[in-house]
Amino acid sequence: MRHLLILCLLLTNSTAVFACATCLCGDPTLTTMGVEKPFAGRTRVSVDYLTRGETVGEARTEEHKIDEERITYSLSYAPNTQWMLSASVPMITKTVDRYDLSHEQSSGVGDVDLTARWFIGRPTSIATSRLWGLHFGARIPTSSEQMLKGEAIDFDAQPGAGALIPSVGIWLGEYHLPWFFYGSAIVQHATSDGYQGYRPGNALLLTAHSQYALPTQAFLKPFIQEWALQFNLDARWKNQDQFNGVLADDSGGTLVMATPGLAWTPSTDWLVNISYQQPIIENAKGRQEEEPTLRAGITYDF
Amino acid sequence: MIFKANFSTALSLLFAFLLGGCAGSDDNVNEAGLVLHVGETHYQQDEVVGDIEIAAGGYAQNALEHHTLRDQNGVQVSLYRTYLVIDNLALVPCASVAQWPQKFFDLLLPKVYAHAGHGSEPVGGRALDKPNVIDLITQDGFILPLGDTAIAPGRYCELQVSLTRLAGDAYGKPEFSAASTDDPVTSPEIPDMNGKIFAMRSDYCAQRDSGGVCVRRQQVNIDDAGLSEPMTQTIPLATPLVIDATLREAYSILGIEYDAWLANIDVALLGSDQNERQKLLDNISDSFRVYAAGLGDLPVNAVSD
Repeated sequence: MRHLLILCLLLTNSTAVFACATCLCGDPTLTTMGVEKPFAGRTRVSVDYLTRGETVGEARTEEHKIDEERITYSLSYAPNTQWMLSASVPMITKTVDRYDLSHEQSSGVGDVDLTARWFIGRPTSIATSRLWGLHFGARIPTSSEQMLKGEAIDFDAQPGAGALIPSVGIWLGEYHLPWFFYGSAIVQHATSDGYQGYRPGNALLLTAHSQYALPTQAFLKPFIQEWALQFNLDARWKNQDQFNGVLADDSGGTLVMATPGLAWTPSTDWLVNISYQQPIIENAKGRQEEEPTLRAGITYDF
Repeated sequence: MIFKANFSTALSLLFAFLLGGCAGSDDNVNEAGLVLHVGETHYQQDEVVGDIEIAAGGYAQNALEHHTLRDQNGVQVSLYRTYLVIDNLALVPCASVAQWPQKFFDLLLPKVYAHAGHGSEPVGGRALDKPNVIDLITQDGFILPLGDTAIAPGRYCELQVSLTRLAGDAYGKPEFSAASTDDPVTSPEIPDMNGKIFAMRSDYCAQRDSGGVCVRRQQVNIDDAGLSEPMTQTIPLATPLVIDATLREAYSILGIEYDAWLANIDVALLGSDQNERQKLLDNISDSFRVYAAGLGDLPVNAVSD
């Protein structure tokens, strides 16, 4: 029974990685879909809060700090045992503070992420199993360009990019109780320009996720049914962005982030997660200093 | 089942609450930053009021706007067309001892501190994102706005400016116009400034009769062809300028004090001797001053009657 509960926790894991739509570091699908084997009709909703920041540009002449807060509402649904579909709608507030003390902020609905996950490899036993499949996705330019008094807010403060960004990838989940491992590789390529002539560079997102289910002590039982420690390595290789066909100096490069996290089930069908993402390798073009990211979310399975 | 329904209701309410709490576009904010207004003026400390001495070989001195200088021999030289190309105007922060190593590296790899990237705004048809061509044969003392640029808060001690060889577009670039062919005097061409740092069309009295009356003028039409590029000038401010959020705008005016351009030059050699022209280019570079700097907007030019 205990193993079944642990497995349940593992399979309903919904945390793990940074899913930032702006910096695109990590697998953006784990939150919304989890990694479990789907059953027909499985439905999940989740709400995630994320806060992050970065400083870009040469000091005194171009430097600006971007802060972002987002709440992402997600719904996933499995029409059968082979496919899982999801949609995520972010509500975003972004602020830009520049070296000259100018300040811009805008809020609104970001670009919607639509994802389909195809389960090809199937588990062979309940205790040790392997899942793998393909990922298909698209970031849809559903946001609107934020304006103030008829003037567009600067791109860096826009809640959405306004570009159509399809993605394809491969993923693999491996269960060895009480351990769970997950990896994915996803390629993103924009097929249209976004606001203000923006075209994101092609990106490769790699995620390596591990999770260890902890035994639940008796004194924790009133608050926690099951819980697990998590650790991710998320990497992004990205070409430089462009604005109106001109390469943006302070964009693109390599970013690797380490993400310790914790997930627990306070009651049946609920899952709470919290994670902290720390940049460990930054080999960026120009000056880009990524700040740590804090993320918390709650998920409910119907 | 009831349990599920209750959770569904709770979740729906949670979503509605969270969605209701989300910021909307009404919260959009755009606050302007600190602005540096940059201007230029040119002047002579001791104005030379030149004599009108029309003679063959020269330009139409009486009909053309011109400024007058004296060379090392006291010869009056009339300037009819004089254009300079300037760029990289910036205020330079005061250096502390801790910044000396950085200053050393900046000498090796020059850095621009307030170049016009974000926040460069045109003023009066000019801006700082491209070089500016200065027409010296305009009213002395007139403050010409060159544009606004964003600037970081701080304490600034110097003004930086470069003479630049024009390669491409610029503000205030004159349109080429050929010289007239009137006889005996003519109007000088308006030079094509492409590929040039400066250009000058001038003349002086080269020959006088026994009564001292000018009988022949000599045209001196020169530019910087073959000369070495001048250096960037960094000119100290009279007092440090502190720019902060209290008063969000400041101004800095480049002064071109051109009295001494010909002070160590023999104008008779200027057209033919490259060394003389190099001295002129160096003198031009050395004539840059900080005319004024302070908080607020650029001073308003007096309205002439």
